[in-house]
Amino acid sequence: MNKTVLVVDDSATVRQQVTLCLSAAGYNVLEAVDGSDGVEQISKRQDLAMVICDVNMPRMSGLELLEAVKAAGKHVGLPIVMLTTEAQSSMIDRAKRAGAKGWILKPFTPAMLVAAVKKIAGA
Amino acid sequence: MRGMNARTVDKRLIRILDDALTACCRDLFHAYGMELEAQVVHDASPHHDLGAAIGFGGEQIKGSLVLFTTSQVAIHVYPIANSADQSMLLDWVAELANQLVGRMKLRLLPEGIELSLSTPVALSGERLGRSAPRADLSRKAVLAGPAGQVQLWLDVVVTPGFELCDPQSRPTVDAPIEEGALLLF
Repeated sequence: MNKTVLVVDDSATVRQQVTLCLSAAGYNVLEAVDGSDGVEQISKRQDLAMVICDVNMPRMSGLELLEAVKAAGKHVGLPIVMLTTEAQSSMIDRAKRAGAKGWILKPFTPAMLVAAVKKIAGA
Repeated sequence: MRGMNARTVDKRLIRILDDALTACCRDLFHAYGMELEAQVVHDASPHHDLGAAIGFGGEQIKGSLVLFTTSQVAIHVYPIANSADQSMLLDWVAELANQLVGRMKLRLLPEGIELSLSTPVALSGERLGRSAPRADLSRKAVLAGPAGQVQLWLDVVVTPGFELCDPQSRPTVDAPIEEGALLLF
């Protein structure tokens, strides 16, 4: 069965880009429009193999999503990778401390993204 | 080095911002397959039909960036071929502004300038223009490539008393990650 990846980004273009490249690589892709939507979708599912999450978003940021998901305890092992324009050490350290699996700095190439997802979530 | 206020903006800060604006825009569009070169424009602006604005803030400076361009340019650098309708183009121009200020933020860190970004907003119209600047400093850059032109406005308010780091003694700040790279924990 195909693995399911959730992409959380307030940019429809970025969600489309991620969805197209991961779908072409054989993954099911779900989309959330901000951190709050992302937390809601994660809480309802047990079949997610990975989450790819922007940082700067309205309503709830990606770092707040990360901390909320890990604190809730139900999805502690779910790999969450940040995909963002942010690259400050303090933010990356915060994500690492909160249990993120990785950090991707935009813009990304489809090949790099698919390789990262295969490495983290499996083929 | 003297402090800066609304009346006296350090020439070095102006040069740093100008360089960051042009270089970051050129690098960003290069990443999406379009080579841009800085252009000196004396005549009226061309008919930009897409735009985006994004605010930024920090202890040292705050302000906004406005990006104007055309649908032709946005389509040229759109990451997915033949899939951009008008609403996606608007979203894409907002994302370009977001990524541009993200790059500038990284570039300004070694200068002791730390910024937080707001979320961008995109605009469309027949001939977009902007209001007169309400800032200590307003810088314009125009870059052009094969698909058309990108016009940028950077408006900056400088916190009174802010001083740039001395170039001889400024700390080395290595970016922990490069654009397009994956950092695994």
